[in-house]
Amino acid sequence: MGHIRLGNLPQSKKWRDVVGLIDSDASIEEIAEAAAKASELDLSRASNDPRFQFISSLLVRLPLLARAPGFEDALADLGVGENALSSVTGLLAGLELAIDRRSFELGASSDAGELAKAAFLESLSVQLRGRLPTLFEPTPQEIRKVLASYSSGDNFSLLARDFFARLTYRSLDYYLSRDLANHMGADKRFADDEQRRAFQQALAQHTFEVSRIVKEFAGGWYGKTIWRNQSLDQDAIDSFTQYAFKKMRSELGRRRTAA
Amino acid sequence: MAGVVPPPEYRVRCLTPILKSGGDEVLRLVVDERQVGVTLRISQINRHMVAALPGRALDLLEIAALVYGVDSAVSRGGTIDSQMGQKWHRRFIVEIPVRECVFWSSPSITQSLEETLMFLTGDRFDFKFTEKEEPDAERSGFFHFDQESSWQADRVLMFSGGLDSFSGAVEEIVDQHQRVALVSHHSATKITPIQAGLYKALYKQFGQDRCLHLPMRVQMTKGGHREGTHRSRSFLFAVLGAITAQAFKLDRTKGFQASTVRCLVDVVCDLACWLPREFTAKTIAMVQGEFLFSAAASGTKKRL
Repeated sequence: MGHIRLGNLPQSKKWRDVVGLIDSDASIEEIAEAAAKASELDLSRASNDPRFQFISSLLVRLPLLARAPGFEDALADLGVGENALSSVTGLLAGLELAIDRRSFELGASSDAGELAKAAFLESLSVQLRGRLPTLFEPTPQEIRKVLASYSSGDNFSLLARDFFARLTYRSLDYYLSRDLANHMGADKRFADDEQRRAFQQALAQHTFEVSRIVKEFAGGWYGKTIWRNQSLDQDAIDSFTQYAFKKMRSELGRRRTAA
Repeated sequence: MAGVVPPPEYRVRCLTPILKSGGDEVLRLVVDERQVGVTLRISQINRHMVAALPGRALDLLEIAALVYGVDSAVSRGGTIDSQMGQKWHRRFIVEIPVRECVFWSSPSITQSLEETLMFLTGDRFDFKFTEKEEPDAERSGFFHFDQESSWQADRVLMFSGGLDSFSGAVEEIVDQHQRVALVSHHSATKITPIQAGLYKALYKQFGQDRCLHLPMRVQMTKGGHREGTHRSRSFLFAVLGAITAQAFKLDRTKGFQASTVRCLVDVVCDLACWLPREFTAKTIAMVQGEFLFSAAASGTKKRL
């Protein structure tokens, strides 16, 4: 239908440096750090995006809602839809519906919101399926129980790490993928598409390793904010996501230096 | 911390359409005080069929053409997508006259329409419907009538000119023994001979009674084109198919795209560009379940 569209990287010096690094066979760590720096302003805006904030709110609140009485009503209030707990797929579809409806009410969608939505649904899918029985279809009670299990500090830190790893990878790939095709061919960084894919897989692995920093503080933040101070509100969640982004960026730099 | 910039907002209103000397109807729009035109020409549907189309089906056709027009008339900010695509996501406040104002103004219909368009295009459309002054005067402006014939389609197929829809047409004719109406959209002359050539191959092989090609042109007039991504084109294409089905008194259209979906999804995801959303199950569910067929077919069973 003619919708396919490849974007270009911005022409700023920071992005030209990133392109230069890709050309020069620089390491994944160097490229990731340079791309994170180049996209820093955009990503800092992302955490102020109301669509992004709604998703980060779901990340934090959903496990708490699952553990409290009236979970079905809470899901209905979110606009997740009926029978969302009948399967993991049903829950994910319902959450996507609620997120899209929220964007509609806010009057616009956004790239930051789309990236966060994809990372959130992917994290939830992987985490839930990893803990649910595989031989039989899980019951709604089992799905709820596993979701509620992320309301402990330790388990929330796993979910948060997974989310920020995927989000960071997606936000780096959002830019880098526009240029990688220009580095394919004879005498270029990627001799073929397989090498380009391997590069992206290595980048995903790198961001996952970097996200350990989020795991280290997310559990503590959760316990302190929710269980000790009982002061969970959107401002607290926004501060948490902004801090997580900041830590991810600094860790990308630290790891590059260490490498 | 940097603030979030709201999406660019555009006001759209409609002027009275004009009929060009060649017979094409031109829908005229004003997008933020800039006038643009959308040529609309639907061929091969006979006069009798058009007369039977409900007003809301014609409304839907005009809405789809308008959406295509404003989508094409306003830039999404170029390929750099600065500030994380801040200009990609646009907001259109549209005032459009329709024949069935009560139907379109119903909150559930308006919301379904706006949500579907937001999903497909990334744009937020905010519609205000007004009563059309002379609803019947423009009923057939954009149809180019064929000779009256009693040919009846069993199936309406979307016929893009690609391999998927061509192989789907062969399957319907040969395996399913159906007579197929092939709906094509073109906005440029490049694809027209390909579509015509494929149709010619079909009727030469299987006979003229087995298929009929219905080429439909929806095209920006000169100078109006500022955005080439055409995210709304799938909506327009679906509407053209739904209206054709209604004209043949059928309650469904068929689209064959599966064979290349897998390949496209792989390529598209790898390159991190925008996935063509007409392929997604969600689009089908929205189109099927919400309003499109109820709007086009008014009273027939909702189905895709």
